[in-house]
Amino acid sequence: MLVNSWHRTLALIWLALVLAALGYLIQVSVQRDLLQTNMFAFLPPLAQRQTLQPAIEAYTSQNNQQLVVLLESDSPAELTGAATALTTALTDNEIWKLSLDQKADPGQFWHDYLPYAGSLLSRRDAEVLQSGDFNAFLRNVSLGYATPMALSGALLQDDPLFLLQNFLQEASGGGSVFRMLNGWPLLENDKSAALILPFYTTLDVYDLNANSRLAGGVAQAKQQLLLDYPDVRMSALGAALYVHHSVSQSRREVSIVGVGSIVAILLLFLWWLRSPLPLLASLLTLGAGLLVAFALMVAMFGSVHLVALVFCSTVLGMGIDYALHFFAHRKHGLSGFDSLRRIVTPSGMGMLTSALAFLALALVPFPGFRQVALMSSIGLVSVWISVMLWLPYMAFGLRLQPVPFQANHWLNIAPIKKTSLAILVLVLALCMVPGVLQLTPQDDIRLLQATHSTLRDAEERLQHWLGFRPEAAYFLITGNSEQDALDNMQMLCDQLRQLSPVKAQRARCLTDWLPGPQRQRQNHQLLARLAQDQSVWNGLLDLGLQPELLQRYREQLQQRLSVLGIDAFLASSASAANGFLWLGQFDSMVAGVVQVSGVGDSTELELLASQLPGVNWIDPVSEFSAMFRQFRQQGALYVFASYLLLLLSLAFRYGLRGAVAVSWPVLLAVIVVLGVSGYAGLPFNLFSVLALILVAGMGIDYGIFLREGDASHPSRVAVMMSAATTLLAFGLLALSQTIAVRSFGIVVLIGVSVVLMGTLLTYSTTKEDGRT
Amino acid sequence: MTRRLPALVMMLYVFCSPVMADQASMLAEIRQRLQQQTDQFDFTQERQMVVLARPMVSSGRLQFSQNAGLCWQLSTPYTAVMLINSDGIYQIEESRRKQLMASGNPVFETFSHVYMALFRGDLVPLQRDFTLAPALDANGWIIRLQPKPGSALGWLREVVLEQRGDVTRLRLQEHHGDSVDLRFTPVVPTATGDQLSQSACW
Repeated sequence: MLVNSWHRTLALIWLALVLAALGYLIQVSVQRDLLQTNMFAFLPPLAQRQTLQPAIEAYTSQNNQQLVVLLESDSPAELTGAATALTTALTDNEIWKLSLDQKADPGQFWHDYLPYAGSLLSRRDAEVLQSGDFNAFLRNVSLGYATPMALSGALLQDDPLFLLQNFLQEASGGGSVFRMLNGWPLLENDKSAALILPFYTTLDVYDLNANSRLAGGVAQAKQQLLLDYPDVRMSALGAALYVHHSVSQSRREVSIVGVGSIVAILLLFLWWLRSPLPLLASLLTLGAGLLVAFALMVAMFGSVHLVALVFCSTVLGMGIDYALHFFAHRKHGLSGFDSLRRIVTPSGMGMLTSALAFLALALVPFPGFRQVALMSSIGLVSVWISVMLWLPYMAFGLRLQPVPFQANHWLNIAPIKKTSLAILVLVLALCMVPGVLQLTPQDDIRLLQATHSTLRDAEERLQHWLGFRPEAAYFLITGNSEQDALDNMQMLCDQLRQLSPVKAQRARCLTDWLPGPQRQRQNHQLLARLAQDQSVWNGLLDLGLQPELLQRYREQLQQRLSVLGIDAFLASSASAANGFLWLGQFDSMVAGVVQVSGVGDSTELELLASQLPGVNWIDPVSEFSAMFRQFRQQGALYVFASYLLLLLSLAFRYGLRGAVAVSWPVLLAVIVVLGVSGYAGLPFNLFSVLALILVAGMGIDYGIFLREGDASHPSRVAVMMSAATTLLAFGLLALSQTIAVRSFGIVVLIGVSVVLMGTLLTYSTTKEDGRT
Repeated sequence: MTRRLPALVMMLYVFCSPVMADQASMLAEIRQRLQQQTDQFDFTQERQMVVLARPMVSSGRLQFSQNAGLCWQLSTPYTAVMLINSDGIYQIEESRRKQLMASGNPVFETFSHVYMALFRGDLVPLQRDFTLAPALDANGWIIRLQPKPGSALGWLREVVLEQRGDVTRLRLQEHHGDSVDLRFTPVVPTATGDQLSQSACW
């Protein structure tokens, strides 16, 4: 009676705690987002990049906030109408803004650069002037006038030797790819035309609410556009859309799989316990436990990463197992408190060993993993407390009907001799060895998520029209000052051209538009030398150029050097298309970016970066993939270490033989999972390792319950039901389109099946004399 | 005035001619005539510009290939070879190509279209950027091309394509006075078996 009174008091205290946690979460959720969805926040900053991190983050964030819309049609006139309608629709609610100045005067370009003409030269002109072959220079000028193309006399009055025109033409890659039509940049080929519209947002694309508004805005605008302009095809690309797609796909899959598994579990409960109330009572109890854990995590970390929360489903799975064991004993006619007494030790043992194993996950140097470890450990303890304190009351007065048919048949596995079982296990493990050796881990972060076909099409369409698709990898150029950074960038771009002309064409260099100060000084010296050479000017007069015009131009070339600096560049019209490559000042460092496209093997580029001052090759995909590989390997060690830890902690209670008897199915499950994955060529990655941890955590509980319950009928039923619910809840994830989720599901499906069979067989063995 | 007289006479003749075919049929007729011509020409280009004290004259030979483009072999004032194809303009030196202007440049796009239309004989595609005013008679034809409003060719006043007898002309007039006058005379192999010079472009 005294115990019951204590229990009631503790249950009430727990209720107060649950209510306090709920109140706290409501209060905090009004102020900020409680969920963190940015995958990169889950991963650690790359150690060797600590000093560059602010610049990398600035560039990433700048990229994330961009949206590029491509409109295609056979009729350019229709495109401009569609562009105006789309821009109005997208910018109407001010979440997207057009980053294009439609009123920009194309002639402004020329006027912005003209004051610096004395220090700007194309590479071709600089080479000729550098060689001192002024005859070749005269010939080039002459050919300029003899070209069968039209020449703008207005421009030639300021630039009679074509020097600035050549510079600007070279900077734009030989010519502007766009033709301006009613203020829109139009691209054309023989068959159709396209408009590329750049937009940006100031909202955080990873914020779920903001993301939903951003992607919703694009979808709505597209829908309207298709109605108004049925012949215009619209493609859109941007981080906001990728995030939206990933979140929607995960939500869709989780809800399909989630609803499917809840229905299946509900049917299982109904079939077994003949009432939905036990499941309801269990979910309420477990929900309360998780709520307390979630509030504690929010109090500690400010927000909880989505991955940590998803991983918490493991905790839910374990919690439901405790409830199943409770109901198995209730079904056998025991009272609520008697049932509790039967399960408190095995579930407590299971909870402690699993919490310990989860806690060890905190040793993995992922900030996200620390959250996963803490959330799982705290969640498990909290759920266990909740089950122990609340379930007897929740299930109070619940009448459980006995199963109307002889259920023992499907539970009683034919007894098997210990030696036969040992041989069977050994043979199975040996059969798996070749499979384990064939295992090909898949750590490429890009393969872990499925790309939506619409986004993939949009990528292809953009590349088709622009011929340039920036890689995720890029060069980050730094310097102590703006001049320093630009000179470093100039050096890199020069080297890139020498490295391979093809690659250079695919590099987007700010120095094409804004040469480094050192290069500008060299250009100025070359032009000053040209101005002093009388024979050149005589030659130009012979060509027929106006003497007054030539004299004026010659005097201009001899004037004081005027270097085009970053401020003047950013204020110029050229910065609209290229200004994003300049990142600016970060503490004592100035940084900019050189984008590359079509890079296959990046070894050469990495080597180049290592040889040049202030040049860094940043390849987030490779680096994160390498990190995934590293942590998959560490995770594998962790699984092994946690298995040893479990073995040792179990040995304290059951002795070494008993501990091995309880835990060997887990070890076998790990081997079978690896072997089958190898044979079948299934993806094996970090998420598979995480699933193995789940299999170990839950699988060990099966052994403990059967051991503690003396393999009694209720324990066997509960273990079977636990495994069935786990397979329904997690095994269905094997059907997911997302490789990460699928890997997780496959491992749970195989692993839990093996553990269940192994555990049941262990407690069905007979000794040589036939005793069980 | 004397220089403009033949053009005026021709214009009067064209406008008073009973053969007032519609634009499409005139373009079809011009196409037929153009397609009968040879693919090699001698050319003379006279450029008048404010920045030039006197007209700059250049000349040479031109060869047209449906697939490879236009090969300009300049002989005065300097010898040089230039190739115009759908990718851009290249200067060819010692069999190596240096790109002078790439496709995408509005000037290139316009002029490569004009040249290709002229030498292929199909002038219809020019209607994308220009308003065409064709006229023809038994001895030749003339087409005035005026940039459409809103196009990137606002600086151009007019392009005139004309054929009188053997000579084809392309005249280009800018708003502020600069102009180019190109004359193409077909090169025909003689009966003695003179072969046309091998193109330096391909």
